[in-house]
Amino acid sequence: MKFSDVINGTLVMIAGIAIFLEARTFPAVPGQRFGASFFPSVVGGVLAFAGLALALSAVLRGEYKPYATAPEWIQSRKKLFSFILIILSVLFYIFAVEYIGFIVTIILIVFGLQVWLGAGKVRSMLVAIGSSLVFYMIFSVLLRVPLQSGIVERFIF
Amino acid sequence: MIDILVSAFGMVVDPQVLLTIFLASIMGIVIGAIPGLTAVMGTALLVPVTFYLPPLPAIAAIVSMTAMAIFAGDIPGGLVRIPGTPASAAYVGEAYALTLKGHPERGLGMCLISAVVGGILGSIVLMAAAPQLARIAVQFSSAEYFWLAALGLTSAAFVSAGNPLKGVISILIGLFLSTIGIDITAGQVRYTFGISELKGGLSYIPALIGMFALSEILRNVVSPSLKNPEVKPVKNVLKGIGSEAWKWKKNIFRGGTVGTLIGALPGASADIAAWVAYAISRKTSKYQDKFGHGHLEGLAEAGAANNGALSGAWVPTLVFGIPGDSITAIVIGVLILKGMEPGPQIFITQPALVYAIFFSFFLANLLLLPIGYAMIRMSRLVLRVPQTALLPIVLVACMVGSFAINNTLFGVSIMLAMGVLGWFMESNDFPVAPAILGIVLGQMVEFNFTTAMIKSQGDWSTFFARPIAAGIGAVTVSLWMFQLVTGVLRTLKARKENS
Repeated sequence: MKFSDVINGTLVMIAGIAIFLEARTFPAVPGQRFGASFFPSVVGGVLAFAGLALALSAVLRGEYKPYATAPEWIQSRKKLFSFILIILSVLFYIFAVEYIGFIVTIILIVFGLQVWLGAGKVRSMLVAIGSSLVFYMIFSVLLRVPLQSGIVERFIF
Repeated sequence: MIDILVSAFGMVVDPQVLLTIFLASIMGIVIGAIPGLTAVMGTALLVPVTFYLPPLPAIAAIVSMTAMAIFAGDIPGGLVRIPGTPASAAYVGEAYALTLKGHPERGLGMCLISAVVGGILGSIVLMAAAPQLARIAVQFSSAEYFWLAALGLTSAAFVSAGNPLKGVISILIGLFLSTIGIDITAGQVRYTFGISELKGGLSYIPALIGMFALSEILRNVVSPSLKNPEVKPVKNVLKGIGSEAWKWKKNIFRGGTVGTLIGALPGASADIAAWVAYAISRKTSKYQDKFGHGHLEGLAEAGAANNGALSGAWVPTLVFGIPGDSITAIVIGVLILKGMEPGPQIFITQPALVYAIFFSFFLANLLLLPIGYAMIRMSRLVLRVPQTALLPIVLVACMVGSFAINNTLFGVSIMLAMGVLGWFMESNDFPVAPAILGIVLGQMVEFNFTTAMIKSQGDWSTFFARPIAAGIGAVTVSLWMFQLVTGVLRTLKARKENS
């Protein structure tokens, strides 16, 4: 999604003002002029100013329309869904891995994504199983990262 | 001195270190050769693994991985006109012209030789300059460090291509993200939005993985074609390349030197070095009309420049703790995790380790010759790895990597949020690298500013009280003024032309 710099600048300005206002609420350390609020106030203030400058310069240059341009790939429903599917895969990992364990989660994600992107089912399954095992071996067995275990992990390792 | 060098050498030839360098090299050469996987992304994904290694192999792994990846980016550039990493983009047209003429081996061979020489030149500069600079830097106080960090951020904002205002905004976004969590001076909780995991600050590695790797996946998955290009085998890579390299030795030497200097500039990385070097060689060449039609001169110069830049970026990183590019921005995080707080002190407290890191640069760049050669020969195989399998596997690497740093799923959430932010920024022409620098340097800027102010009891003139601080400060402030004035003038001019 590409927005006009008028929109981008305004968004940045609003964020800057919000950061600034929040920074003003941080209590000061008695006897010290530069406490927790000084630096974020400067960052928020400059951000608001820079956002304003960005929006203003776009207006002055006459380059503010169209306000938003949809990228070409959004026209293709398949591509749009590929994009969403990547984000959904990460969310799925976050919410599911504690319940079904690392290996099954990864197999589902890698298999599903490949098939959606147009790869053959058999190859996708082999890649999915292979990659989940390799990642598990490297991180859990070799590097001792406590990856979540489910039925499969308890059964094999 | 000699005993330091001897013990440093002893540290590098340790079998564990050598094996790590070798494995990281293989990873780097593959990552670089596959379009869409960049050296920065590789570094971000390598960090979770280095987390579990001792300091030297951890750093050496990153050094060798990136040296390989920056060269390997030339391979798909030459063969199918798609740069494997952005650092090769400057001269893909030139290398591809040779492939069209039926001589891919001449272009790739020249890229390989110049990459090796450029990388070694950069390593020599690093090894010679860094300890000298460190000697000066030992005397720096918080005022100097504040200005150095400010200058680094300034250069990052203005060097990045496109609208400098967007570079500034990107930096400020990074600086803001660095304030999340409990602040270092007063213990105040800032911008955690009630999420207790954010109290310790925004976890840095998951944020990097998101901004550099996840955003790349999001871009690739909607790219026009996921099909793999056809590639013919490349033979006789090194045949006659020695005499060619000798013919353009001046270009290789100049490219390596210019690249190293550009690399040392914060925010200017290997890709900018390659563009600049290519432009220089074209401008000073006797054969300007041959450029773009498969002429080796520009390839020699730019191919040396990007590998030189890689080493150059480590100079400010090790000496001042100010990263020279996105890769070293990640490296700073690793150094701190490994108990090697970057700064002039490490040259005094851990000299053997520092020199061992320097040696690993030489080793990695020498190793580039055989591994790079093998990769050119096997390029057909690697370029056949289907994108449909690659993207999901890289996604898994992102998720596991951001989990493994703190062993919490919250890291994966940060990675996702930063990935979407990075993707949005890039889609709207906001460069992402300055934001990373902002995240890395934010605490340093704030801490040194506050310290200087507390020491001087609120007297602003402390920032200009010492000669070096005053000098760096003056340069920084005049850069701001210059950009402000030219920005306003440019806008007014565009307005005049419009109406």
